[in-house]
Amino acid sequence: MLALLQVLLSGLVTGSLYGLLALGIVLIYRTTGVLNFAYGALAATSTCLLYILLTGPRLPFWLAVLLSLLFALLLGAVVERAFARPLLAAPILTKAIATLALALVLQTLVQALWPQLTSPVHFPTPFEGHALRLGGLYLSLSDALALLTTGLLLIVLQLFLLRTRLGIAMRATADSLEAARLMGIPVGLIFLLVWILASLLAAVAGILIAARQTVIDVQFMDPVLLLAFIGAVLGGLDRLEGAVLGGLLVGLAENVLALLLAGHSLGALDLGNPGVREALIFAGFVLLLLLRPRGLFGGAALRRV
Amino acid sequence: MSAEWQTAAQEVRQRRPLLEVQGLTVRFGGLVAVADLDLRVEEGEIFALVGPNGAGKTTVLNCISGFVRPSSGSIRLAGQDLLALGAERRAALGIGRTFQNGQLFSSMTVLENLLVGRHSRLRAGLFQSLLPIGPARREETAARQRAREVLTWLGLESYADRLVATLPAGLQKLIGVARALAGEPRLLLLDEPAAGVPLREVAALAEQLRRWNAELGLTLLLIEHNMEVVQAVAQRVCVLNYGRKLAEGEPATVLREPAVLEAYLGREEEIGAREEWEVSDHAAG
Repeated sequence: MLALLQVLLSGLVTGSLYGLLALGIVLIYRTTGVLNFAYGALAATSTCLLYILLTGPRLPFWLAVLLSLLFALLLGAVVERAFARPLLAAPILTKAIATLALALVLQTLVQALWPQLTSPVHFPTPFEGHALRLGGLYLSLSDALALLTTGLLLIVLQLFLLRTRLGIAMRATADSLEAARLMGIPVGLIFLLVWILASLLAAVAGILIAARQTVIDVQFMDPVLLLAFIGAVLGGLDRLEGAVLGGLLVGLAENVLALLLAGHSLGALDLGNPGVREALIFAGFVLLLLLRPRGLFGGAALRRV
Repeated sequence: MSAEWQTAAQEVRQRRPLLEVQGLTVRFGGLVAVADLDLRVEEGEIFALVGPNGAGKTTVLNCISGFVRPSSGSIRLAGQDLLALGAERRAALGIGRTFQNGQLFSSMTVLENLLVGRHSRLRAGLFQSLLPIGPARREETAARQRAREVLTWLGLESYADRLVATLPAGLQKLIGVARALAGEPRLLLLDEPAAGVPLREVAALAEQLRRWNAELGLTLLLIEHNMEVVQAVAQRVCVLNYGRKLAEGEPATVLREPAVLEAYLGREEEIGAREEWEVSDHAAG
């Protein structure tokens, strides 16, 4: 019983991080029509910068985090202006393929600038080795921080999108670009803000994931992004809450499967292998999509944002 | 002296058209969608733009709203050059519009749709509006109030907090109008307001259009296929064919001109078929 609770707790942590990433993916997809496969690379770039700031000039941790987030803000703005804006009118598939190129460019740049990140390196944080005990449950400090941060961010974002005029303008732009322009919404500015916001979310998620894994390299976000994408698609790709719920579901499934499969084997195949778990998640995802092509929450009368 | 001056100014204003389109030409590649079109829409008038499919009506509307850049010509609203401004900046001058396919913010509530519609009337910037207190906040409260008034005026107040996507199509059409009216436009562009409206409700729609015109002093420029509506509401009508003006004037005379009948209204059987189509369309939906 306690083991199950422990697994659910770590599922919640993983899931909330997937949810945060899925949220950024959906935000960009809905407003600018870009299926952003470079989202992991965006997150990794800001996180790698943090690593460099921590290990090179040895800046205090929180100062380095602040600088990395400022960089993420700038990165989002540059990518929007130089990459997304010129492609605005391109077909969805063209834009999606272009993001693969963008991911490659970002990863190559990081590797060229900081060759040490080509292979796994230790990501130092002040939380490493600290943990909380809740009854019989064990929660590492980085996990607790991840839960707290993602929870807070999701609440603030929801309030921002539902209650403020800027948030309402963003949702309007996502719903109908033409009508929003006609009502006088500066849609160019909205695009810029959406990319900045998404890049910030990516950086936060990247940093939290790096703190959990304690080891990163330039591609450390790639497997995570795949699972976050599954979360986004499960949520219906056009709903923000759907994205968060989809991400949570994937995280929970991943951890519960790990518990169920550990120590079992099928012939020579060790079922505890993480590869088996991922294969099962992908298979389940394909099956779900066959049954519900619009995602788990697509079509339900949920409030769309 | 001021009274005299005001009367004089009013006369000048009355003589100057609200919307003035001159020599408007739009080319898409080799295709001439609109050719050398002149239009004058007077303040307070209901003006209809009609013509067969592909005549260039929607293109004209898109030029006025700013989605299409004409190859040549000029468009002025109350004397101000519109083509120098992007679509985002034209709403503030007093242009409202509805779309044939709605283009509503369907994942938002009705009230939120109207708030966005009112955006161009607010002076505080989007960033300023993030502050929890101050003039921007007061302005927003006033905007919500005004949006509710518009809803009440149109008899939609009970739907204020409903999600647009959950409402029936007929209601959504009206919400499109409400959203445009929330911006308090001087000129309202209506793209086929009667499309998809069941025949028995067409007369009521015409009545609504006249009411908006009379009670709000709103100038209406509408594209319409339904001649019943055009005859009932339009003071003047312009017939387009292949992007050119075929005729212009009062509906009663213009719609009887032989050239117009030949180009557009002559095909009686087709018009009959279209109307049946609309009815069955509605029954199916």
